[in-house]
Amino acid sequence: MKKKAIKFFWVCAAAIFFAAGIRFLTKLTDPGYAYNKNKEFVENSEEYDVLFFGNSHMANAVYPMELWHDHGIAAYNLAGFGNAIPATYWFMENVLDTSDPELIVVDCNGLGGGEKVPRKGMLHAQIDHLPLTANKLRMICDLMDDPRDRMEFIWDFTAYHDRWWDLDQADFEKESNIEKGAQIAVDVAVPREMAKRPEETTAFDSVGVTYLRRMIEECQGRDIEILLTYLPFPASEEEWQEALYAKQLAKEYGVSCINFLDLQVVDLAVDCSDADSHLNGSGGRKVTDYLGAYIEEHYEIADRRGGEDYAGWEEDYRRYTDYKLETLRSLETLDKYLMMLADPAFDCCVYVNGEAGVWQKNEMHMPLTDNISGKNAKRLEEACASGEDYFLVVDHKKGQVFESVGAESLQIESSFGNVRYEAGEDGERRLFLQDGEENYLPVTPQGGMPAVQILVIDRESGSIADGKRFDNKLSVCTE
Amino acid sequence: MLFNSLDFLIFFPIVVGIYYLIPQKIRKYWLLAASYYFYMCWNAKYVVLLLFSTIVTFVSGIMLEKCAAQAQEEKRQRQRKFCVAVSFVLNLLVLFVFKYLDFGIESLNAVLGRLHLTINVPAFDLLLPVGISFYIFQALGYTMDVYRGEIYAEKNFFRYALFVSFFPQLVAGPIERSKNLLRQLDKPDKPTIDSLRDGLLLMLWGYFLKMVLADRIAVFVDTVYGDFETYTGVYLIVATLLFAVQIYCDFSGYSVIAMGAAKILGIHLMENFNAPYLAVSVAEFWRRWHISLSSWFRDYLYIPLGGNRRGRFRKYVNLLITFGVSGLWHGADWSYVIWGLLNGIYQVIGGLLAPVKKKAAVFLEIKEDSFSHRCIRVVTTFFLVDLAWVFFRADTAFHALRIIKRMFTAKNHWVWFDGSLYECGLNQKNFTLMIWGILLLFVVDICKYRGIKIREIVARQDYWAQFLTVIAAVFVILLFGMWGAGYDAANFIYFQF
Repeated sequence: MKKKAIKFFWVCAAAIFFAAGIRFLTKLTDPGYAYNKNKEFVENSEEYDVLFFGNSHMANAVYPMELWHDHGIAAYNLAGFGNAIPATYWFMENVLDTSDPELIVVDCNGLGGGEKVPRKGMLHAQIDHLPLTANKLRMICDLMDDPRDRMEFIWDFTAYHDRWWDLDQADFEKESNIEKGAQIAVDVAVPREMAKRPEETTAFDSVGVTYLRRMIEECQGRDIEILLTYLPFPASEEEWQEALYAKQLAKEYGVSCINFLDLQVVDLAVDCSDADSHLNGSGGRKVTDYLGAYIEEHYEIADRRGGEDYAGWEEDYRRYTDYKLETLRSLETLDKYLMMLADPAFDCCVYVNGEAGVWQKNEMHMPLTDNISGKNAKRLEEACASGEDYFLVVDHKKGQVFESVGAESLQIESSFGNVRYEAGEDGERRLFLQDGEENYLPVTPQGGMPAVQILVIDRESGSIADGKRFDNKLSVCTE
Repeated sequence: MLFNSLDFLIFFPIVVGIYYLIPQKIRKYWLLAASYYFYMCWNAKYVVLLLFSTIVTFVSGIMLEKCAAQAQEEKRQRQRKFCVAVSFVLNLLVLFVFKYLDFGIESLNAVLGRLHLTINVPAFDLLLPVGISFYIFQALGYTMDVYRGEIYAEKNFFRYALFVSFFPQLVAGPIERSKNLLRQLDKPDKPTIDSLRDGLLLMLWGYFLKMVLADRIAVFVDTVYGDFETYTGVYLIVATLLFAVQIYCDFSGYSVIAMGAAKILGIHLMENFNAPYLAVSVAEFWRRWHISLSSWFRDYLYIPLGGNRRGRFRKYVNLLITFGVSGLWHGADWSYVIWGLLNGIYQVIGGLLAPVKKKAAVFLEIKEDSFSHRCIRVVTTFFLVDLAWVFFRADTAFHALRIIKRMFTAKNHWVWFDGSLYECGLNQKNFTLMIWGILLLFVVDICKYRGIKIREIVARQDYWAQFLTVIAAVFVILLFGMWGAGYDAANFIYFQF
């Protein structure tokens, strides 16, 4: 009897040890894409009033932390890269198991798509972190036909076990998404030409339409407001049709739809991160501002700022601004750097050496510089045409822009202190901040002025948060 | 259904669970149904061939025994030979049609083409039924055993059908002998914790060989052999060395899983591999490699041809015939025939040179039983066998010759040192893991060679250590095995035969 009991004990111990080991290996090898992106949401899923769904267009375009800071909206961006609308529908179904939002915003990009899961790998990055519930199983069975594929999503170790050779520090210290699910894209691209707006809306049937209808009906059944969007990018004719039909569907169900293709919210010339689809940080910020104002105006979403339950959000926002600054510091090319400076969080002083041919080296430099000023740089064209030095101060807090062309000196009072720019006829340029004696625009070790110098100013202290100098090849100077 | 597929991992526990839940009397029927289902998972239609072979050999067995009752010796012998002939002809005809017909037609067309005759006989493009060579040989072995009086003919058709189709060894062996398997199918061993543990350990070792080693090595070998005009010299040498390990791990992996699965069902299958690369001669290699097939050819072809009883010359001819046929058994292509003949030629030359070697050893004062001398012989044997494997692996005999030429003529010795080997499908960490795995295999084979049974060592440990061993083995396979998403469960190499 005792022998049997001992045997039984060891069998149980082995089973527990085995299960624990499997769990450990599963967690260890999971690259954590989904976990990292949505960890913040999973841990506090009940505190969000607005949830954003869609694919990479949405992930790149709406920044919940900005909505929080500017409007007090507690939002999370749950959009998944490569998601088709069926996956978005099912993801929403799973998310609603644990959360009760006031408003759901769904981007309708891909409405005409015929496949439920165009890219399997991308779906992993969206759903791996979801607990294995009946809803998740229904999702997997509906989205995947092949039992092997289903297995891969039920137990993602089957997909990741051979990552053992690729494990690094990040796998042991998984980080959460500071942007509350969003992802600021830092690239800058010349957009392709946008197709002409079709005269008429053509109704069509597709897998995407079927699942969008289910989403709307599900939200309406649960008394959750739903807002459809079609985010801006250089759309093709088919994509225009998707946008127009989304609007028609919204009308059919009596819900709102914002077709950004019809609006002039972004400037595609500077706001695209790749030629044919996604928005960069500058474009995303504009969309976020627009949506924030729209939601505030059209929906009764509580302003959670100062709320006891939301005390942690201020700290989250501070981490978010630090993260944006770190991102800015890591940028090595002038176009990306200029693009990021369009964020109103960054006040800056920009010096451009007229002899360096900066404007000619990349035709985007001028519109990107203009973009920093919110298109208020009136003398930029003059500087470009004359080939003279150009100096720009952007004070977002005061909403002011100051410019100098050629040998004009400037003395201004900004929200971050006094700025004195001295421009002599001999070509020497000097910059002093907050009445100090230190020249922030020194000559290069070679004796001349840099091609471009940008100083990002910390608004609170007036100190330099980041600075970059670019040489004539527009490479970052390392001195 | 592959052993390393999810299907099998669901199928097998269900089969085992029900097998032990139902009364012993009906277990064989359950196993028979499971075996036929297992086979039909590949191609349901081809189950007809399995059934045909089973019926023919079953009836021939019964007939052989009936003929034995015939009073007239001459007539009896004639009838018995007729029964054997019918069984062999019908079975080999099936094998020929489905495996060799297209090869024969292609060869015929090639010969006619050489003679400038423009008769073009069309090929049939028949899909090769999986495992056909294995179960037909097993069934024919039974006919011969009854003919020789080594066993009584099986009277129970279902038991006999299970003997031919027993799923663990149905599609890639071991080719079991009726003496061993038929009796066990009637009265399998009762399950004990020890037999279950043993079976499980065997299966895990088999999975390790297949999924961690064979399939990992395959990535490297396939990359190099797939583009041997680019990957020359050292790449080809390394790939050829590794292929020897790959095919060993692949095939012995299958056999070991089969043995383990059978053991869990209370059936002991014969050992199919016994540290073959530690053999000191090619002849010994063939006594240790694919033992069930080698012994089949020895018992049912080499010995009936006269073996070594009719003089030296006939012995060598018999050897060449046996190995030529063995090559053909492995595949319907001249490269397999050359591979088989090469192995036969090695042994003929070995036999011819034996007296010279002996004299040279005496003259040079070499102790033939010394460790160093054995090591040299092991390495030499491995080299010879591995060189023959080139014909086995290459797409055609012509390619094999080109590969061997490029192996030794291209000069790129830096490849040993500059990390280029990590760019052939396996990165450095995977390559290192592969090397460690091969070293482990080497140690296990040495233990086997010396009669040390690792499973018995594990069995002597406390329960916690036994469990830990099993769990650790599972984790190693799960983590380091080649499986899951993005990995198309590779067929076992020997399935094609």
